[in-house]
Amino acid sequence: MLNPDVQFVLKTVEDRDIKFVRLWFTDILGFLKAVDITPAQLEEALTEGIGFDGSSIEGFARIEESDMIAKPDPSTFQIMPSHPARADSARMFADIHLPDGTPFAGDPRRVLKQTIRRASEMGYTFYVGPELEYFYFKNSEGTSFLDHGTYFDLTPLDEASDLRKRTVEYLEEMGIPVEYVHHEVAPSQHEIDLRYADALTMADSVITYRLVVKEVAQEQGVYATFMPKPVAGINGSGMHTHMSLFEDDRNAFFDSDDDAHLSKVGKAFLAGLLHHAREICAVTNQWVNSYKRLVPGFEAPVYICWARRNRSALVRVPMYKPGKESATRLEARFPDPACNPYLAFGVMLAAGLKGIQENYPLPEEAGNNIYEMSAQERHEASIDSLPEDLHEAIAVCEGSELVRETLGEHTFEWFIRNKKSEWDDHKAYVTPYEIERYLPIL
Amino acid sequence: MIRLLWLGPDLTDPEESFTPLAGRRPAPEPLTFSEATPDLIARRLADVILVDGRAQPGSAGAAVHKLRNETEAQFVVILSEDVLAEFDWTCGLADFVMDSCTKQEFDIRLSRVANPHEQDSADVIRRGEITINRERFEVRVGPDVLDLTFKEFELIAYLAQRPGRVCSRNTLLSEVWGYDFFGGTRTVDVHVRRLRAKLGHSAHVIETVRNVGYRFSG
Repeated sequence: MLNPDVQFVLKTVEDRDIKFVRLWFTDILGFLKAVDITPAQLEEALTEGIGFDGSSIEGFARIEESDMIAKPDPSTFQIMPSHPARADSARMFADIHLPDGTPFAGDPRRVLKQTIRRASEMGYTFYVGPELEYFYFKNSEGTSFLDHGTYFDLTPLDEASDLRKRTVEYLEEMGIPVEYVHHEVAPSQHEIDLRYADALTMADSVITYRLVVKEVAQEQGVYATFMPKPVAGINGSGMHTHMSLFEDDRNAFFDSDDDAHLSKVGKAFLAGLLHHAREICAVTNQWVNSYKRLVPGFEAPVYICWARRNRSALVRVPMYKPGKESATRLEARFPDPACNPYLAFGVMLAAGLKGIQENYPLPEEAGNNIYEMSAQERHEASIDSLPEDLHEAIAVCEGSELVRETLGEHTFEWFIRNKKSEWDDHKAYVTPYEIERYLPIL
Repeated sequence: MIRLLWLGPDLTDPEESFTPLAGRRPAPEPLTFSEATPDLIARRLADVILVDGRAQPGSAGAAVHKLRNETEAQFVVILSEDVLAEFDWTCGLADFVMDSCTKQEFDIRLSRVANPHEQDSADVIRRGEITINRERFEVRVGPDVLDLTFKEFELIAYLAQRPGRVCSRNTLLSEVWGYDFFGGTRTVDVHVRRLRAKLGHSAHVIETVRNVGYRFSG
């Protein structure tokens, strides 16, 4: 007898006349990959998995072990909203296995699942609510803006409001509820906030979200990008991530007697996040370009500190509203939307859990003056900074037991190797900045 | 989608003449009794033919009698209190509505007539505009099929089977997800939200009972 969720998928595909089913997964960097199967292959795929050649996928396999198995997760089965380009199709997220049936260590979904399992062994469920910012440009060749609107602007300055509306409809049809939608601070910059969910569901949703935003833009003949800092001199795009741990129905971060309404667990999680921020930064901010966003002056965090009001802090503790215990949460402001969400949620959770296990003490809340302090004063106050660039981030990450343990040997090794080679490419490249500055004078 | 044809004594706008039709899409196509020849009816694609019998119950009955073997569509006749006695009940109608009926009653009658195979099956739960078919894993709002995930389907089916009763998050978690699931009870909230997003204007059928759980309004 087949499981009811498998029966559900088979029956729906038959009744709704679905022509092909796309199995989704990501490579280690978070790029979406798909294996398409026909309804005839579906039952086998659901029970045994479908073989595919993994040799050309980043971080998957060496040539001699290129055979991989994609095993769809029936609970993620979703018919794609009707549109001529994706008529009669459905998608499921897939877990990747080796031909002998063992889960593949380079599958980012598995990395997150393992960390979630550790949290659950400690009695916690991890919930996240990310806010992904992005830009619309006229095309992918350059950065010409679609609009010159700004924060919460409305039409006619905000020409993209139709794009956003269509995107929200599409997301809701995919079962991804949207919390807020608005124009962001920079021209042509937008943000759609997703309602919180457990971390695995949310990582799947982030992948879906990025595709939906890009697809809707493409349908309308424009280009959407999650590049962390596409235009110098204006705000970059972040992925502020709201996080909380629950023990059954109870928010484990909440304590009514504390000043910041943070429990001992909440404080230790926060301390863990701060303590390991430099190590996990290469995962949450994985591109050369990510570090162009993490500079002073553009509402992005630079210094490792927490605060309730200061929006430049690395982690913000949103103000408590009476009666809203369940909303007590931490907001990590450093990740960017070009990360691999499975790995980023995984390392942030691992850092927080470490803080709880080791009972890290929480540093004092930062005041408003961090940016006015001299480097010496910050040093005296023990306020550290995020890595300056990808090079520094990789170096710190490479020495991190926490990241190695969380990603697992295979993924960790591959990731460090890949990032080093990215940095080497970048290092050898002569940038427009240098031509502009140096050529006329040297 | 239910395709409607309107038969009446004249060409008044059906949506104005019978308010439960207001805003219904696709809008019914009006024809007069005299226009509606067997040939014409045989060529029209319709699921239900609405016959306005309020002003001329005799002509209405005669039209149904004449046309019923020409089409697979079902006949629903609109009547008023004062013509009930004189209407020819043997003409071959599938159902009738009073002109005072509400939009909701009308929609349900229409949907039952248009989808006779779904009637009275133990696997079909019907609550207001929502139809849940357990055998086919299918949920409809009015005529539209929703694209649900399995858990979303199980959740609405579980709630709809217990209309008006509050189900706690813990009950839902163990009944719908089973005990080996390691997401917490907030998972229920997450799924309710996803379900509501897909239910659109019918989202209100799943009511939140503060600090307890959820209830299917019914």
